[in-house]
Amino acid sequence: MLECRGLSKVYCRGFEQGRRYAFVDILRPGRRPIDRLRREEFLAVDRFSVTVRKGENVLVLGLPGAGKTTIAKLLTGMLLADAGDVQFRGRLGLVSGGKLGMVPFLTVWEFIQLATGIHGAEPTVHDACCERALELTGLSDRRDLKIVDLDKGDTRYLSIASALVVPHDVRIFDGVPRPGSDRVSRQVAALATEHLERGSNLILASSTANLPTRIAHAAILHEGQTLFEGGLESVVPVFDHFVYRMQRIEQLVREAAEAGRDVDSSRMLSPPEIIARARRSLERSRIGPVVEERIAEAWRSTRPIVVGPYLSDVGFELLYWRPFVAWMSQRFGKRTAPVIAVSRGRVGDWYAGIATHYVDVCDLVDFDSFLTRNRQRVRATGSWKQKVVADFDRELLELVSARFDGAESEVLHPSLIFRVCNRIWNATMPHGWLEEHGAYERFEPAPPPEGAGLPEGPYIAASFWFSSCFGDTRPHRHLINLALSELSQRLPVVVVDTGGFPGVPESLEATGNIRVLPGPDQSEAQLGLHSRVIARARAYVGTFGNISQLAPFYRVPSLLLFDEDGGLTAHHRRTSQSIAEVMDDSAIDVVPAPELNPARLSAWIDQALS
Amino acid sequence: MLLCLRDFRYRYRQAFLKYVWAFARPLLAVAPLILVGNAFGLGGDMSAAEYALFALSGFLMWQMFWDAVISPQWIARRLRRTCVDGPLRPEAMVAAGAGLVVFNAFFYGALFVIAYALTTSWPPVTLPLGLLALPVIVLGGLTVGAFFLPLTFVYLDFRFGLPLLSPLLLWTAPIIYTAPESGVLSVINRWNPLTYLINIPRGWLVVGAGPQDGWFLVCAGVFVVLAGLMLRYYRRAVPLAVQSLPQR
Repeated sequence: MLECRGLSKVYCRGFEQGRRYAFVDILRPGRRPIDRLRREEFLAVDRFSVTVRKGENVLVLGLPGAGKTTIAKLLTGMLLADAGDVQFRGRLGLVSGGKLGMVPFLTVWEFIQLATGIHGAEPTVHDACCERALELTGLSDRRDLKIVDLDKGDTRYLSIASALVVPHDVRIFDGVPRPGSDRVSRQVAALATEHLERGSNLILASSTANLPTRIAHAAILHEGQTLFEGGLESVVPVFDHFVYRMQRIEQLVREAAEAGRDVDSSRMLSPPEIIARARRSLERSRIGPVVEERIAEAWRSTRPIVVGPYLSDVGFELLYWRPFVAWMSQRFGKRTAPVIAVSRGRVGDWYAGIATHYVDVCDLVDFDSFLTRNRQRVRATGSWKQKVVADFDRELLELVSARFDGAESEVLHPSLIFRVCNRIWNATMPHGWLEEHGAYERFEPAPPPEGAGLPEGPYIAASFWFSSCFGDTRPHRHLINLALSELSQRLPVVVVDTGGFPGVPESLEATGNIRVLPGPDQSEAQLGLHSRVIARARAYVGTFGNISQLAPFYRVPSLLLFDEDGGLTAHHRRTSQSIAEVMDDSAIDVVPAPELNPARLSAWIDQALS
Repeated sequence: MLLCLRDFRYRYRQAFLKYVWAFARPLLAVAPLILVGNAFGLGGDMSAAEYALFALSGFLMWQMFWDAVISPQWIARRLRRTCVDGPLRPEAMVAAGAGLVVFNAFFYGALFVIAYALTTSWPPVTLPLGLLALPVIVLGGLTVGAFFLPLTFVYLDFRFGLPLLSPLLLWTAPIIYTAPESGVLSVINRWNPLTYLINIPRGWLVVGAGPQDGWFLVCAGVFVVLAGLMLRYYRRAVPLAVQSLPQR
């Protein structure tokens, strides 16, 4: 058991002053009282206590600079505590980055021996640990090479792998290794996860990603103080809210500084106030478990399940709704009764493999009625998003039921995910919920689009519109024209018009190399057609959001443009990034518009078409 | 051991002559001293060969002491980042320093044997006593080195200043000259613990037992007590010194 009580550490802000104090403190015996701080000194850790029992995980969340690394160093004896004590018997490990004495003239084997030795590998297992670390980092066959002869990337995970392979009774994770796109990082992250799942860890993290499933206790640390502690289910959402608010404050302060304004700090909430508000908000909202219970209940029943009708925006459907439905299917397994997906635009391809049936809204009502009734729904509910079950939804559900011999069915309406997302966007629920409740997987290959008059050979798909994250400005219009010009010089371009395409410039229209497909409000199957056009394109370039989210699911290299994190773009970008990570797809590039110049665009096209 | 290996791999792999330097450095340092010492009669009534053996053995023992003072710092200076990044036990740096001293001691031993062979003299019966005294000399050096090591982390002045102490220590103990019986130097010799720590074991190695041999035991006892106190100081001081290093 690792236990510490009232651990405190005093730091000095100034480097020079800190050295002077260190010199004096080294020569003077005994501890200095922490209640008498000297000039420029502050409490980096303030009376921190924690107990890690055998088999248990304890999580400490904190923003960078909260004091997490200092705690790790105090517990492992790398730093001397100014107050408090640490009780531990056994082998205590520290998993963190750093070079650990790596010098270019050592061979890989020599360095691994040194690094595992520093991490406390005992002589009886030392060589086995080294072999394991080499295997993990894929350097077994290069053990005799000198570090100087290796690529920098090959040495990146040596230190952390050395920390993970040495047997310890309790481990302190100063950050949780995250899987990247390469094999080694995934292997290292997998071993870290294995240790985390086994328990006996103190996890010091600045984000809620990649955490183990079992955590006995969690706490939020800020500026060395424990602001909140409790179970994982309460600490994580409070922390996510806290991070969001702190980032907002930082942004406001930065903007004020840029504008030369003074910030009225009295109007800003203090960190403890933010935590208190988040706790109150959390207590009011327990939507996550309610949603899960509703799905479990539906899956337990023997009746058909209708997922939908989905009538809202395409981007949301691709980023959240469809992965959520796929997750349900994975989480609760196959059922004997049917699962019926209901959506619009003839997008049955998207639900192949996760629903047994697809019913299009235009199978139930004619296209014009759909457009009219959907607009009425938006007016009546006050939102384009399906946060509630509207009359039109009910009507459609009855029609679906009629198509299945009037069988009573369980309905899993999109409002389930919209209500959760609302909480997440208000920062009263962790964003990680979406990642945990979304199955991001490739779509099954789409059949070729018919009747679109597409080029016979390969082509590039594109879609541009103006939005809150990519405003209608002269530079953006110029960028669209530039992109169309560059793309059309390489291959024919098919522009998928989502309803806001600003048009093909006259100079390019004459080339005849750009074809524009009309928007989805033109015909009932237009969205499905767009989908298939994108699915079979060699590359895709477009505004971030909406139908642009589709290309990665068909593994089409995609370049998505945005300018600023207006509205919910930051949330969508985070989800988009998670999708790229999970699907191990480096072919998704979300690029800020000002950073895209002709050279970069040209290089991207070359790479995408190669 | 691993830290020690790392250090001299790092050092000698950058050199063309590699480990030759371990042998050449003490030899090149002592050769001029012997020549000058002979020319100025620092050996008193000793013959040139006797003086060469006397001066060489004293110098090598002093060099072992000095290696023990300085080696932990060499290692520690190169491990600053490791101390910040990883759970390196502070004692490991002193142990690695001791490892380097032992490594050098093999070369010194070889030089000593060669010198004995060249002077065609037989060692006295007290030679084993002299060999047993060597760890005490190393312990003495490590004790002094451990005091300065954390301070070197904070201010480099100690690293720059310590080499200046080297000639002072060398010349204030009768290491390459015979102890005068009177005068200021005699007083200084008498109060310098190195006189007893090095001169007496050197006598055991090349001359035999002497009237002041008991002082070595007193001196050894003092250094053992000091080493214990220094270990306590050192364990507390290194984390404080590491804290003063840039943390990123």
